[in-house]
This record gives sequence, C-alpha cells and structure tokens, in this order.
Amino acid sequence: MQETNNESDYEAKVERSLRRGNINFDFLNPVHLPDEKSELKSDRRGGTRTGKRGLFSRGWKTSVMPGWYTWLWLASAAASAVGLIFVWGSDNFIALLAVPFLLSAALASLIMLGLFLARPR
Amino acid sequence: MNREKALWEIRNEKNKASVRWLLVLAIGAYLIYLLDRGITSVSGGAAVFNATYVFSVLAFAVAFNGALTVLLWRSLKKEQIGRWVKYVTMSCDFLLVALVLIPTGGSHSLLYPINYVIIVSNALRYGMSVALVGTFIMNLFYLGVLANQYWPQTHIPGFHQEVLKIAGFWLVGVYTGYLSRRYEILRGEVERYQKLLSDALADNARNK
Repeated sequence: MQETNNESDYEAKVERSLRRGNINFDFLNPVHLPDEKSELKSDRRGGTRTGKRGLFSRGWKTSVMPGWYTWLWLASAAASAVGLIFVWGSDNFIALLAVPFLLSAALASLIMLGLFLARPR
Repeated sequence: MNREKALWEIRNEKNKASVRWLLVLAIGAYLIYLLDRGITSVSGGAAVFNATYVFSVLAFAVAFNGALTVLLWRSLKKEQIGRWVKYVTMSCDFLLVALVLIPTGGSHSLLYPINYVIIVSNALRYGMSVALVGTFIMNLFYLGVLANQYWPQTHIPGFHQEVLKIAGFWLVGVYTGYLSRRYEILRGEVERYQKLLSDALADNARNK
C-alpha cells in the first residue's frame, strides 16, 4: 500500500516536472503542494552557462499581483501607441531617437497586458 | 562571472574579432577604390570624403581590433573577461558602420545592412538584453549620420522611410533576441529532463 502511494506521488512529481517547462501562470497564482520543495533558495541567475529553465522560473519570490496592474499595462500600451503616432506625425528627425524606446515599451506592455488578461482568476 | 562563462564570452569575442578583420579589409578596400576612382556619393559635407577621413577610419578600426585582440589574449590567460567588453565591441562596431555610412551616401548608403549583421550576431550570442541595447546604440549613431547629412535642417525628406528603417531594425534585433531566449529556455528544459531522468535512474538503482 505504502509502495503504491509512493509510486503515485512520484508519478505526480514527474508529471509536474514535465509540465513545468511549458508556460504556466503559477507565478501569478502560486500554489505550493506539500511534496514540492521550494526552489527559491537556489539562485538560478548565478552566471553559469546553463539554460534559463522556464520563462518565469528565474529564482524570484512568487507573489500574487493585484488586478489594477492590468489597467497600468493598458495605460502603458496606450501611451506607447500615442507616442508612436506623435513621432509618425512629426517630421523632426530627432523624434527618431524615441522609436526603439516606444516600440520596446509597446511590446513589453502588450505582452504583460496579454498575460494579465489571460491569467486564471 | 564564472570560468565557463568567461571562456564562452572570450570565444565569442574572438570570433567577432576575426569577422571584424575581414570586414575591415573588405570595406577598407571598397573605400580606397571609391577614393581612387573619385566616386563621391557623399552625404553632408563633401569635404569629408578624402584620404585623411578614410585612413583615419581604417586606422581606428585596426587600432580598436588590435587592442581587443590583446585584451582577449590577456583575458584568456586569466580566464576572466569583463561583462562590459561585449557592449563596448558592439558599440564600436555600430560606430564604425556609421563612420562608413557618411562617405558612402548617408541614409541612402548601400552599406546600411551591415548593421543587421552586427545586431543579429550579437543578439544570437548574448540574448535579448544585448539586442535591445544594440538597437538603442545603433539608433543613436544613425541619428548622428542623419544629423551630419541634414543639420541644421531638422525636417528631413523621407522621414517616414527612416521611421520604418529604424522600426525594421528594432524588429530584427528583438526577434533575434527572442529566438536566442527561446533556445536558452529549450536548453534549460532539456537539462531539467536530463536531471529528472538521472534522478529516476539513480532511485531505481537504489531500490533494486
């Protein structure tokens, strides 16, 4: 009986480990299972040439982010879009300096907005 | 930075230095050919395209790459390299391209695509952060080229084309950075599965 339990626990552990590689939203809604050891103590950003091990598993402390962040990212995306329209409308070449910054801000805020809209609630 | 990563960065920088020697030779020969034939598609001040300018740019490129080669040789002996080296080499590459664009047509130069070679080679090696920094630095030097071409006029002809050129460059940089990051993540997943498998095999061997 004990062996069957251990086996099913082990299988669940393997299943979770395999699943962890894909994008998940645990960082927004963390659930700590009893048999899951926390990996927060080991800093993965140690500078070694190993892979990043998951887009969101970078060794940061997990916490639930408040809902108003969605509006913050929406505002940021809108501000970037307005900035780009402003640059497009101007003919001054110094405005070109802002193009990569505005595009990066737009992309980053749209990605974050997408994640916040798609997160499980 | 640990030894393994330092050696990896030194190898990357050595490869970049080898490619830089080739480009210096090829572009130097092209500029000398233009000078010799008196072909001037110069933007901005026409006086800039003379032997002094061309040989100064070439001397700067040779001195920079020579100094870098010495630095890499010393770094290899110490098995340590500064994190700043990759940013400095990338910035100097963009500066050299900007200096070559000026006498070959400025914003209309055929040599503009060399910027893509630099951003792709750096983003593939070092990832998203270096790709983003690269797009900002390149933009700064390209604005210098435009300023040389049009200053004191600030309203430039073909402005929207320039916006699209810079946006296209940014897109290439970010997408290459993303591919590099994706590769790193996949590599991390493979390492995780390898560890999982080796743990399972070790557990299995213990239980037998």
